[in-house]
Amino acid sequence: MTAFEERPHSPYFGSSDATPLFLVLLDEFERWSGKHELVTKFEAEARAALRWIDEYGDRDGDGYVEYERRNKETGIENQCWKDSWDSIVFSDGTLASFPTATCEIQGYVYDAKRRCSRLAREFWGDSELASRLEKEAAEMKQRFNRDFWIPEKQFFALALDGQKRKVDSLTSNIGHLLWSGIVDEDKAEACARSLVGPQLFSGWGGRTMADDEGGYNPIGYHVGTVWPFDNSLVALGLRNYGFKKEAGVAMGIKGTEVTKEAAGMILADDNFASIAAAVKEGRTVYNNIEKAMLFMLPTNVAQALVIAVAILFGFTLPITASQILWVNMVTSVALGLVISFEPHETDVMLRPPRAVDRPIVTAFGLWRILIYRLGAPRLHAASVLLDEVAGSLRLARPDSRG
Amino acid sequence: MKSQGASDSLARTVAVNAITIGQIFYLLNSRYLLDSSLSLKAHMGNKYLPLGIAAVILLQLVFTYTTPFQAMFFNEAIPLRIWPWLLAGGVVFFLVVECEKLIIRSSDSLRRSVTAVEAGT
Repeated sequence: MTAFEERPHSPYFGSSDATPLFLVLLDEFERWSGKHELVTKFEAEARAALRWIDEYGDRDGDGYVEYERRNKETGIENQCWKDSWDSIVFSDGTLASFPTATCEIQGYVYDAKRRCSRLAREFWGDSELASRLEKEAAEMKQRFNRDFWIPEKQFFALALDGQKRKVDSLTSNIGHLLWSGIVDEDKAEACARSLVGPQLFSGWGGRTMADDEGGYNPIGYHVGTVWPFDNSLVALGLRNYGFKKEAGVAMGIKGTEVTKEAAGMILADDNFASIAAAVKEGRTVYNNIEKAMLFMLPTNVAQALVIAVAILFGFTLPITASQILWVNMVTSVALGLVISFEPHETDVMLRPPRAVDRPIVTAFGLWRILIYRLGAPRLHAASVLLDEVAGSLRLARPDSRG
Repeated sequence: MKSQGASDSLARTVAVNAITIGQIFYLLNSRYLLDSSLSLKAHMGNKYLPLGIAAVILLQLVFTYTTPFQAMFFNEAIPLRIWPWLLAGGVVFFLVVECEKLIIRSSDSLRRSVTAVEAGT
């Protein structure tokens, strides 16, 4: 097919993200391997790539890298990773016009400049270039968060089209932005919510495009299908901004280092059944922690209350401090420990998952603490009762100090 | 105590044992958040449960009746006839908590809202 200049493998395969990604890779390689000879060796190429970004990538000087094909016969329309003809599309389904500046390429450029700033300072001995790149990156981040953010939708536009309009479809590209670090802190949570929300997350992978967009097609090349590499970058992005739980699970044996680094959980034996077993264990451990809290807190609160009331109103202490310590030691150790051996409850796997932000003591737990607190006067009642009993049984001791 | 002439230290020793007995019964309550703790079968699953309770009983007897502990904590030996009252107090509180569970279980809306609160939603 290539020999006959047929797509998709024609000799002309435009790409405007390979250049910044080459710089990102160069820095990443050095970080992982410590082999800085390669960084020195490729200094000229890296500088040329930086020049390309500013002089050729940014065609109209608006500060963003955009692309437009010149070969209308066999050239590829979209020169970003989503390189199918219909990938850059508005929410209502209309195609974006050219030249197009997709958001993730701006993220790559920002990242490339920041990384090259380090390389320039540490390996090329060019602190002037380093400061310039740092300054450009900082400015770019500011501009980008202003020009690409869609406040009413709370996510970043997929691209700016030929007329500089925001292409307003929700796509996985916002995960690439988190990976690059170009997202302002105050916008990261909204991005993370979108990425793991039902429109983008299918349940076993992140879609390339949200399922309620005009351009969505569940089997479209870049407008719905789930891509492993895309998900890797999304997961790394979530990790970058501290959303480890959202980043998900990695395979411990066959999984890549990248996924293991990003994941909130690593599956050491690559066995999905382990997840179910772990969830079961985890739920029971959580239940038992909660039971232990619900067992210990109410009694502690009750004891504290009894002492507080006695001190406040000048009563004789119903129980001394060292006795309280004794009670706590005996009951927390001998009884509290028993709770940690509680077996799985029969319906533990039938319950809905608990919300990640659920407090360990819920409103219901507080209620339990309160009713036991009402039980606290029982202590006084017990004393009074004993008074009566002691009287009636003539147990009062002649040497009593009372 | 004072009106009948019983000593403060006896009252305190009784109070400590009242709390501890209450704790043992409350432990039985706490093993199930909403389900009934009212059968023997409900307490068969955890083999450390009888061990824990036995340990507490033993420790409390040592605490109440041995001379070194009485000296250390200013305890006084509790006359045997007091114990049934303390046990009864523990049972009453146990039944109160079980009643609360029963009320929640028997009302659909209460049960649903507690389950929702417990799921954190």
